[in-house]
Amino acid sequence: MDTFKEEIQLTIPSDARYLRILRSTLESLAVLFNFDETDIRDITLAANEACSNIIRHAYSNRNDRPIFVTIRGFPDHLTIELVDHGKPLDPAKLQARQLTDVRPGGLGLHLIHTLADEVIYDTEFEDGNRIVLIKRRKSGHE
Amino acid sequence: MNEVLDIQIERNGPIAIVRVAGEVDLYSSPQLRKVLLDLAGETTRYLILDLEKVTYMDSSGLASLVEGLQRMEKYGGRLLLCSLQEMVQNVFELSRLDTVFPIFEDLETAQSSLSASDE
Repeated sequence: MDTFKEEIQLTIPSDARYLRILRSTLESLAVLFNFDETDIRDITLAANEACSNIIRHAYSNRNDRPIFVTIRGFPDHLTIELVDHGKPLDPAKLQARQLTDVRPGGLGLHLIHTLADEVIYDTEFEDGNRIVLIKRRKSGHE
Repeated sequence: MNEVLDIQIERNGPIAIVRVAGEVDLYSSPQLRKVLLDLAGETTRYLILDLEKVTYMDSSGLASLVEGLQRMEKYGGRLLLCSLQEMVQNVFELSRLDTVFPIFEDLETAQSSLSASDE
C-alpha cells in the first residue's frame, strides 16, 4: 500500500480559459513534490489534454460545468484524478490513434498515453467520468 | 473570438510571415486557426509561422497547424515553421509531426530555404 503524502483538490469550470490555471497549479505542485523539469512538463500536458477532452466531449463545450481535480503526492509518484459529471465517454474511443494518419484530431489521447506512466479510466464510475493519470518519479529524485 | 494570442502578420508578395506569441491551447487555438485558414489561399504561396514566442502548445494547437498545412497543400502552397521553443519542439516530436512539417531553426533559415527552392 502506498504511503499517502499530500492531497490538493481543485474545482474548475469546464471553460478552456481555466486550463492555464490548471497547468500553473500542477507545475507549482510538481515542483513542490520535487519532480524534475521534464516530468513536470509531461504530466502538465497530459492533464491539460485530459481536461480539454472533458470540456469538448463530456461537456460538449459547455463552459459552466464543474471539473473536479485531485492531485495526490506519494513518495514515488504523483496522481491526478479528473472527475466530471458529463456524458460518459466510450472506452472504445479512448484509445490513441495511429500517428501515420496525419489529420487534425485525435492527438490529445496519444499525448495523454505517451506522457503519463499509467492512465486509468474508471469504467465503474456512474455519474460521468473518472480518469486517473499516474506519473512515477524518476529514481534519484526524492 | 478570443484574442489572447499576439499575432503579427507580415506580407511580402507570395510570402506571409506570421509571428505568434503566447500559449496555444484549447482556449486560444481558434484564433490561430482562423488566421491560418484566412491566409491559406491562392495568393499565399508560402507561409512561415514564427513560433519563437510560443511558450506552450497542446494538441488543439497542433490540430490547427495540421489543418492549415493540409489547406495549403491542396493548391501547392507550403507552410513552414521556425524558432520552436523546447516545449513546442517536444510536442511536435511526441506526435511525430516533426516529420510532417518543415521546421527551421530560425526565420532567416526558413526564408533562405524558400530562396533556394525558387532558384
